[in-house]
Amino acid sequence: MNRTIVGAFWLVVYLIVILSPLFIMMIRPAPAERSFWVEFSVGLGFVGLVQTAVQFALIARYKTITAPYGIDLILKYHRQIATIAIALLIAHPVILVIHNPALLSLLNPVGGSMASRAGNWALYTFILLALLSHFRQRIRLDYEVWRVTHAGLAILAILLSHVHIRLSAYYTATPWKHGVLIGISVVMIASLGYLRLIKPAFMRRRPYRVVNVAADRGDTWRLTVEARGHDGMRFKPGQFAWLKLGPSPYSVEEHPFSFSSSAQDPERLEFGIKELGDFTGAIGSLPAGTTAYLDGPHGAFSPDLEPAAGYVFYAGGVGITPFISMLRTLADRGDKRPILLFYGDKSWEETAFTDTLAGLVERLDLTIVYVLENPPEAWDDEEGFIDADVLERRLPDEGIERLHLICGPAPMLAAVEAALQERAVPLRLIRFERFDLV
Amino acid sequence: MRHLYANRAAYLLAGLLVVATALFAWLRSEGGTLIAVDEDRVQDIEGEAWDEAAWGPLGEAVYAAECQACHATLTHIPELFAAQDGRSYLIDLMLNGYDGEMVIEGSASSVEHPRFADLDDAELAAVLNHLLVSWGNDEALPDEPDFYAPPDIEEARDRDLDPEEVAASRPSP
Ligand SMILES: Cc1cc2nc3c(=O)[nH]c(=O)nc-3n(C[C@H](O)[C@H](O)[C@H](O)COP(=O)(O)OP(=O)(O)OC[C@H]3O[C@@H](n4cnc5c(N)ncnc54)[C@H](O)[C@@H]3O)c2cc1C
Repeated sequence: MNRTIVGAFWLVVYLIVILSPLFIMMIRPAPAERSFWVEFSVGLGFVGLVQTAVQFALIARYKTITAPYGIDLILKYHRQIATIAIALLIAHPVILVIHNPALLSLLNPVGGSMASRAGNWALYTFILLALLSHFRQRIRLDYEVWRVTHAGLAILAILLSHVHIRLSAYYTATPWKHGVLIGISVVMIASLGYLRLIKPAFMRRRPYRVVNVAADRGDTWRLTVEARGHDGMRFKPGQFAWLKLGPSPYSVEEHPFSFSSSAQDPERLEFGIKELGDFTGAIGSLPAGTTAYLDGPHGAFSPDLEPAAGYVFYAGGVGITPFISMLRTLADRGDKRPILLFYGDKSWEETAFTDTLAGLVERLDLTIVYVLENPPEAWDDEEGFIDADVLERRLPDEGIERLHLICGPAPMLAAVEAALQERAVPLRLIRFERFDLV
Repeated sequence: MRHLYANRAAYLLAGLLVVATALFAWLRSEGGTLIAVDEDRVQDIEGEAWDEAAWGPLGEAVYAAECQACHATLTHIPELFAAQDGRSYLIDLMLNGYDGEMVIEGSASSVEHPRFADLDDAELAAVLNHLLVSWGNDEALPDEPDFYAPPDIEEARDRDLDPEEVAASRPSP
C-alpha cells in the first residue's frame, strides 16, 4: 500500500487513542462540573498518562507502523513526546496547587491521602525515568542496564498512576470508562511483550551464521552472516537491522547496524562495524559459526524509496556503511545514474572500505571525493572537513536535481546541512541517517 | 527534511494535546457532556403530575447518569423527606451542592456533594421522585406524598445557596 496512506492512517489512529480519554470523560454519566483549572489539570493528567502508555507501542518496532515514517523518526519522536507527556503530568498537580494553594500538602509523597501519595510516587518515578534517559551517557550508565531499568520504571509509573486514578475515582467512577483507560495501558504495555517475546520467537526460526569477520582500517570489522535454512532478509540499500549474537534470540543485548552488502543478495549479509565499546569491541574475536539473529529491515534512508536523477552521498567515518550497500546494489543492477560521494575521515590509514570503493568506481558513474582531516603527504584530494568550500569546489553545476544523502556523526550532519543550505540546495532534497539514535 | 518535519510534528502534536485538553476543560467546566438526555422526554412530562409510568424512565436515566457512580442505593431518603423542611432541603442539595459535616452511620465526617444545577427542572424533579420510590423507599413514605414537580425546582433556583448553607440546613433526624 501507498506509504502516505498507511502513514496517515496510523496518525489518525494515534490521535484517536491519545485524545480518547477526553472524549470518554465527556460522555454521560459524567460527574458534576468543576472549575476550568481543575478540569484542565485533570485533563492533562489523563492525556499525559495515555501518551506515556502509547510510548510502548512506538518503540515496539511494528514494521507497518514505523515503515511510513522511518523508525529513526519514531524513536526520536518517542523521546520528544515522552518528555512532553511527563511535563503535562507534572503540570497536573502544579495547576491544582496554584489554583488552590491549600492543596500544597498533596505534593507531600508521604502525607496526604493514599490517592495523592500514589500520584506523587508515579510522578517522581516518571521524572526519574526522564532524568536517567537524559543523563545516561554522562553518568556512564550501561546501555543494557539503562534499557531494562527504563522499561521497568515506565511500567511501575503507569501502574502507580492507575492506582492514583482508581483511588481518586472521579471520572473513572463509571466502570466502563475506567475499563477503557486500563485497557489502553494494558494493550500498550503488551507491545513490550511483542518486542521481547513474540518477535524473538519468530527470529528464532530465521537464524544466521557468522561466516567471516575481516579487519578493515579505522578499527572497523566487516562481519558477514549467512541465512541458515531460510531465504534471508530482503532489505532496501541504506536500511539497517538490530543484530543479536549468540544462541538466544531473547537476549537484551542487541545493536543496530546498517547493511553494507548488496540488497541483491538477501542471503549473505555484510555489516561494517566500528569498535566503540563492549559489543562492537568484541566483534573482532567472534568465532566463525557463531549464531546471529536480525531484527530488520528498518529505516527509511534509501535511494529506493526516493528515486532521483542522481545522488550525492556524504559519509563521515563509519557512516560510509549504508552508502557501500547502496553503491554495491546500484552496481549489481547496472544503474547508470551519476553519483558523487564525499567521504570524510581522520586520515587515510583510518578510512575503511577504500578497496571496495575503488572497485565500484569501475562499475558505476561514481566520483569519490575524499576529505581527510590529516591527509598524507602529496595528497591531491580535499583536506579538512566537508564544508561549504569543499562543496563550492566539487559539487557540479548541472541541470539535474540530485538527492543529497548524509550519514555520519552529529556535528558532521549539521555542518553538511548548513553548507548545502548555503549553496541553496532545497531541504526537500536532503536526507539524514543518524547512528546516535538513543 | 524528514527530521525537520518530525520536529514540527512533535511540537504540533504537543500543542494539539494542550489545546484539546483546554477545550475539554472549558466544556466540562460549563457542565457540558457529549450525550444529552432525550429532550423530547423532558418535554413530555413537563406539565404532568407525578405518575410512575411517565416519570420513571427519566428519573432512572438521570440517576444512572449522575448518581449511580457514587450512590448504589439511597435508603435514608424517606426519613429526610419526611423531616421538617426535608423536602426542600433535598432540592437545595441537588441545586447547590453540600459542603460540611454529615453524620453517616453514627459517625460525623466531612462531606462534599457536587451541584447539579445544569440539569433541567424536569430532570431534577424526576430523579428526586426516583429516589422516593426506589429500593423499597416508597414503603417508608407518608401517605399521599407530595411528589416533586418541575415548578418546585424552578422556584428553588432563586434561593441560590452556598454549599455550606445547604449543609447547615440539613434536617436533623
Ligand atoms: C540506524 C543505525 C545504524 C547504525 N549503523 C552502524 C554501522 O553500520 N556501523 C557501525 O559501526 N555502527 C553503526 N551504528 C552505531 C552502533 O549501533 C553503535 O556504535 C553500537 O551500538 C555501539 O555499541 P557498543 O556496545 O560497542 O558501544 P557502547 O560503548 O556500549 O555504546 C556507545 C554508544 O553507542 C550507542 N549504543 C550502544 N548500544 C546501542 C544499542 N543497542 N542501540 C543503539 N545505540 C546503542 C549509545 O549511544 C552508546 O552510548 C548504527 C546505529 C544506528 C542507530
